[in-house]
Amino acid sequence: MRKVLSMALAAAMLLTVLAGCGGGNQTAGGSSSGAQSNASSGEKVLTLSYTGDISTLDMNLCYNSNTAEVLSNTVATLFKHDQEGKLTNEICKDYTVSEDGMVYTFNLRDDFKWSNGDPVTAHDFVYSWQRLGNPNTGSTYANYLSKAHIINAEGVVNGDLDGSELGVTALNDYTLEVRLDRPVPYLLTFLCEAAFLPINQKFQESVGDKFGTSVENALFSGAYVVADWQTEYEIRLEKNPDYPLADQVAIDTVIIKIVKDANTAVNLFETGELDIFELDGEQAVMYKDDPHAHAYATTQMNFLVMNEQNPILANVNARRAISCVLDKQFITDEIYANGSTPADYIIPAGLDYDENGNDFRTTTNIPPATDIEKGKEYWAKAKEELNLPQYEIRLMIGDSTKSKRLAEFFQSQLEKNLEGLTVTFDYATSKTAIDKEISGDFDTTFSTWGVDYLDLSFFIDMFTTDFYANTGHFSNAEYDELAQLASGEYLNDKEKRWEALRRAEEILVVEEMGTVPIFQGARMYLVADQVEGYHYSDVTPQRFFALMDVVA
Amino acid sequence: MEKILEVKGLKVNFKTQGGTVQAVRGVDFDLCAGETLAIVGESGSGKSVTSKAMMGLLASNGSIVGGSIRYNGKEITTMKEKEFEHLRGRDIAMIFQDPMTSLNPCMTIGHQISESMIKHQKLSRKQAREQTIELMRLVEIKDAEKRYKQYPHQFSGGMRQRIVTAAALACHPKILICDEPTTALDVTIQAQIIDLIKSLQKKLDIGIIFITHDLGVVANVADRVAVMYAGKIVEIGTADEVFYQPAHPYTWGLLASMPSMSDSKDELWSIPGSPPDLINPPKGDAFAPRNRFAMQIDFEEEPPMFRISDTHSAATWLLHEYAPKIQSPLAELRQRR
Amino acid sequence: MKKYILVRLLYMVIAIALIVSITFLLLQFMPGSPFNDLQLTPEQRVLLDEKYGLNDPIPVKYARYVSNLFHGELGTSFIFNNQDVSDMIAARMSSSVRVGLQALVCGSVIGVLLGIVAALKRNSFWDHLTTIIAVIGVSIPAFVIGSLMQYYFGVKMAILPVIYDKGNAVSTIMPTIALAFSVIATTAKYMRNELVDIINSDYILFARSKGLTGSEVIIKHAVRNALIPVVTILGPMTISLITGSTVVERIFSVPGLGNLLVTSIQNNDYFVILGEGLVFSLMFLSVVLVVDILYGLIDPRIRLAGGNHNE
Repeated sequence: MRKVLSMALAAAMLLTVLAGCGGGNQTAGGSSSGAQSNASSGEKVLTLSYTGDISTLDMNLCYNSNTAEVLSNTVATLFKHDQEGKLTNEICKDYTVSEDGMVYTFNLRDDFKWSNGDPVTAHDFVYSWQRLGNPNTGSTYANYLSKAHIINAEGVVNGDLDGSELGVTALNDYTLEVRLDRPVPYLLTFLCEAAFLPINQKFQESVGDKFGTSVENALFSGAYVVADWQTEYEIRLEKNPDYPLADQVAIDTVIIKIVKDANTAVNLFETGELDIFELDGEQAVMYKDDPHAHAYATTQMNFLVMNEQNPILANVNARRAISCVLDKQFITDEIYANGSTPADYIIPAGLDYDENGNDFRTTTNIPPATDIEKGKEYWAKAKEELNLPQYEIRLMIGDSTKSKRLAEFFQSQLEKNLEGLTVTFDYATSKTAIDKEISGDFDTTFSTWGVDYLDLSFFIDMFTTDFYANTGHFSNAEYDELAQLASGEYLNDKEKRWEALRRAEEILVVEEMGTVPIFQGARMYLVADQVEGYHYSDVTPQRFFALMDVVA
Repeated sequence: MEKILEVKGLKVNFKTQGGTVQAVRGVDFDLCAGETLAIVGESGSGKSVTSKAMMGLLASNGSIVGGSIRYNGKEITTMKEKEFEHLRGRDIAMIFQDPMTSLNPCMTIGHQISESMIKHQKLSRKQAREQTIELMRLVEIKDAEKRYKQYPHQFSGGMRQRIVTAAALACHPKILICDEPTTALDVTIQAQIIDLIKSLQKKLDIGIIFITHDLGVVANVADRVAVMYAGKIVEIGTADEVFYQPAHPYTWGLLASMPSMSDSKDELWSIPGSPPDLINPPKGDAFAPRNRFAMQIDFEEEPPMFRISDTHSAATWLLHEYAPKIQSPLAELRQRR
Repeated sequence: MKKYILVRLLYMVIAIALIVSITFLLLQFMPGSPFNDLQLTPEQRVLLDEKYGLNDPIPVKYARYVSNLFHGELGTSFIFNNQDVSDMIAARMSSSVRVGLQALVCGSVIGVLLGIVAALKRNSFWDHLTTIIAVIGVSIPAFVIGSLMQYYFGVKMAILPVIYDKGNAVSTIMPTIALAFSVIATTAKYMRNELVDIINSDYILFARSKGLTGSEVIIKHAVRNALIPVVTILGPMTISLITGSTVVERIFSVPGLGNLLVTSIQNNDYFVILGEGLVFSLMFLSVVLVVDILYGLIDPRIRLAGGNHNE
């Protein structure tokens, strides 16, 4: 009996091991390969990695950038972009704008198809946007409708109005009309966002809640289709033969592996199994001089939020003092080391240009902020005005290695130069940090924001008195007025608008120091030699794979 | 009677951290077929070591450093392990003191008995099983057929010793060494086991070396007796001779310290002192420090074996022609009782 | 025996019920929420919380969860919108089980062999090697071993695949070894000690006295008996495999249960966390139960304890 049992056990174990070894070829494509063209089929394959999986293939529910990138590459929409970030047509053939800039009419091509054969029509856009705003959908980015200033957006999103009241209509199968409640200079790039991607109503209703939960429950119409999605493992995109612009698409297959560990990803890049690898934190410092490393500017801004409800930070001289003693060059070069550039301004470069092609950024005159001596003067003044027994502020920060280094640097710079000031740390994970920031349970924290839409007003609006994310509680009447004008009356007058924004920025980062800008972000990637056309864009998708090529 | 075992001058040493222990320092005896030789002595006298040496079962730090052991004329001390494996079980077998621990608790007793049969005689499972059941009946285990498949913990101590005996005798060895086989058993069971061994000896005509410290058992079982002390045999003779005409003071001490039912005194007679340190054995008679009959020479020189009769010898200077004639105090003791 | 199994199963159910309930309660107090993105306006957050019932009182949420459980529904994920937790877990089982089982089997086999060699050749090179491996396996965390292996074998020497590949069995070698290290260490040490004890016992001497060769005695008597108690440590080893898997899966990008657990905890994905907790508890308790039953079957002393006790 005992013998039989032990033999059976051994056999069972052996079988499972063997089964594990043999089985495994159930995946669609078998094992992955590097970027070298597959000798057998001459295929061009690009392999890259994400640190986190995409969350869904439902465009309305998309809330992180990886998901947006995959969706945007596989679902066609009005516009895409080129390698420099300039808009190009996709489904939109041409469009017209009304005189007051509040009505857009888009004429769509009629040769785009969903992967089930249905044509992509203007109705698909209307359905998607109405669904986006419907509270039942539970979409994180329903407020994009309001940010696009589509008529009745807020009412629909709050559930007060029915979706049909939304200011978007299909005049016919291939004409889409969008009505706004004010001019929106950034509308076209904004409409590239994944949330606005069209949805095939018939299909979505047939699969209901399960829409986007798997490849079988999704439809594609873009340059690529998602051939396979194994959660937390791999996403496989394949060139869409039915894409009307397919002859412009060079790469046949894009394999996205989910690799959470940065060291692992580096190892994969070294062995040629990954073509692209984003450098961050320690790796950025290690690899910044590598010939494969390339930095791409973004419109992200990193700045120090100061909670003005804290008595010390309520004093403008204290805030000025902090601004003067922070060595931003060190932060960008030694701690982030990913090509970010130190900034004393809050409106990033790359958002808007005048008729001569000059960036808004070049037309301002912000004096350099760093000046240790001045900082000490401001601090002395602040202490006189405050007259407190001790001076202590907390820095709320995450616990990654990079964050710790940043925290220590911050502490050393302040404590060294501002006599009597003590900086303590409050380590919080991102989830709890957000709650604390909103509830005001913090003194200072570093914040990184990417723009939702490519507009000069974006960062200015963030510091208006009523903005929900103005967690530092900066408030200035002149500033609020200027911000309102820039997003209202002056929308159709570029010169006046720029003037207002320049003045507002001056108030924010020179006079009142409502925030201390630190740097304008960049992203650094290791790019394998055979990859051509690699780019990073602030217009969705971040990387449009149809623009890239793999050359052996 | 032919001699099946001849031991001459056997010396065994053990390497320990404290030094080299001379556990056996020159031992001579013979064994004939069908006879029982009892080796008696206290703990540390070297009796177990002697028997283990005969089977090549010394611990890894022990080695035979001198003398010879001949089994049926063949020299054992120079045998390799492979040859020992042939010898063990088939020619010489051994049963140990504690039947509770001598058997593998996770193996059926039937298997344990038949193991050596299968090994030495290359029997098939079926044949071995038949023979085993026969053996079990021989050692008086009831319901042999059914109990073949049972495990040691399902048997009492006495039964287990029978099983052990059966296992040892499975291949009909010529010599059976019993190393304190009854020490761990109840007195009543002891008697049973001893009877069993005696009857087996008659049936199978095996020579038995019976090692024990219990003289009472010896009386029952032995044809001849060898008394060991501090690694040497101090007296050897027939059972009658050793019991009724003991010549060595140590033997006197042993016999005198046997408790008797008719003892009127409360005190037990015991030999004062303790055995010597065998890392540095004394140069004279090892028993001298505890021997109230010791003479000067006992401390100087080791006594040789003095012949008392053809079958009886003792290693004590008292037997020297110049020694004073001491009467064994046993007579006096016996009178007192 | 049947009665014993039934009683144990009942205890298992109670244990799992307790585990799930306590985890549920603890999760309610976990700071943060799946939806605290600064991008969301407060109004939106309210709407989202309402849609998913996150603001309901705790007993209501609990009752809802339990009743869903009885219908075989483990809820849906917040992070992977609308995906069924049960589907997600099922999809990941095969990878985790494959690597875990391999680690368990290879680890215990190697560990047993090492332990045997170490016991037989006391104080020799093998014995010392086993001790070194044991110390390494127990003190150096799996992620260090895994990262080192990945770098040296995957990149520098390029003889093994850097990450796990579902279609390539060779890619399971490194994660298996990383996981198996602690198994090898524990098993080897345990086996060696058991065997040394047994080798010194009387029945081994008796077996030798019957004329069995050294190796026969070792294999038929010593090792067989030493294996029995080794079975008992399978339970705790499964635990270390489960916990070790979170790290090893991350390094080698194995799409398994450990990986999912980390993601779900980092993102407050409550139902996924609960679902995984349930699955892990089930696995562990099952292993313990099987080990207990097995032990009773293969050790005759326990198996027949209640049986005949003849004279």
